[in-house]
Amino acid sequence: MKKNATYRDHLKKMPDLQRRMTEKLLAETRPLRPVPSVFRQWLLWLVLAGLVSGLAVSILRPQDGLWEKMLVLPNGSFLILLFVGSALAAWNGIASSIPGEGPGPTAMTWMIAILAALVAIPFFFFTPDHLKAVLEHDMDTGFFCFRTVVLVAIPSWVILAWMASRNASVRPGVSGLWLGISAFLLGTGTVQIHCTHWETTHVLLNHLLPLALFIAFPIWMGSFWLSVWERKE
Amino acid sequence: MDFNDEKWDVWSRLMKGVQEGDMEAYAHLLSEISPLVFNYVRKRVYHSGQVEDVYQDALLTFHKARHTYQVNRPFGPWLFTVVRHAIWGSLQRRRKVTEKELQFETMPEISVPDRDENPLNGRLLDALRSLPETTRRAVELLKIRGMDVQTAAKELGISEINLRVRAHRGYAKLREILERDN
Repeated sequence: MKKNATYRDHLKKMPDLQRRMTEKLLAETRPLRPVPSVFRQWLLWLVLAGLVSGLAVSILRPQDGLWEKMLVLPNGSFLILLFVGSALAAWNGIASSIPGEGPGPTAMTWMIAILAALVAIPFFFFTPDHLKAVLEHDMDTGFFCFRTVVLVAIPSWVILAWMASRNASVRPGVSGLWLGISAFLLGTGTVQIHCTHWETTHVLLNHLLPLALFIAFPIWMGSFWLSVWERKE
Repeated sequence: MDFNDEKWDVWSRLMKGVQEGDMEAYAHLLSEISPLVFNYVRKRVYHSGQVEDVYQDALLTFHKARHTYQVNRPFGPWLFTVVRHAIWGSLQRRRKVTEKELQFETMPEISVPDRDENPLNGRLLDALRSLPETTRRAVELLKIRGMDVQTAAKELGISEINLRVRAHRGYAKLREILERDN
């Protein structure tokens, strides 16, 4: 009874409009579980993304001599940057789905730098090849690398979006974009472990183009799915 | 705004209680942050007639997002991110409603009989048109389009209480105009 009286005291002090609104919100009060921190959600993503990527690599098989190729600086940097970029974009996506959590300007700058480096490395350091030859090879394989990047990206994005949809994104389209970048970079990294073609056009066309081509979808889907918390009664 | 002020720590602790379902903590918190939120909304919404609705939307959004507050994080940035988003979203929804309203105004002949057939309807229509936009819309949805309160409130993006208040004002004003004409 004492507790009830105190809460009534608070209401009495309020102007009419604020009192009515407070009464309405109090009527809907119930205990709820706070969402885990960005770090804990990101760790969960790390495990789930590792499972998706690991499963895909176990089906595709890693390329022969991967370790030797990784010791070549541009190749190793490219592969590491793909996974680091995916992890950073996932962090930004999760953070952007919790009010007041970011991502901050430092994370944004790093992300832009990583994306720029991922385009620049194949362009300047990988072996040049011809578009015609790449397209002929793609026709023979049915655009295998391109398809695989998309196939790995889809479950990765769904996992991330499911996690972020339990938060409360105030910019769902932007969150969708971050999650999309993360998912496609994970797909590209996974395919890069398998694919033996470390040539400029092949990598740009088959490994990185899906991100540029389909990034509008995660933005569009994110703007619906990640704003579901606002539509809840 | 000074987020280092002691009150932010107190509010942060109250938010923990809110997440645990403590009504007293929630009432205490709302009694303290409501004036702050109201002033914040008032400074950012230029149409004074929309301030109350946007304020209510801001508190509703706060209520829906309360599970995302991390008790070990500062409360101020979280609160104002939510409120800023709510203001923007609420104004966006209102702008869309106004756009729909303009489209509706181009075809009233379909649902309202010609004034020559029934002079009362003509007078009623004139009286209706003389009402302020927000009030007229409430009356139109409830009495001309025959919507129930819940659907009409959803259509306008306002609370049911607010819709009833607007409609009630509209009926009183209509009665006043029609009686004056008589």
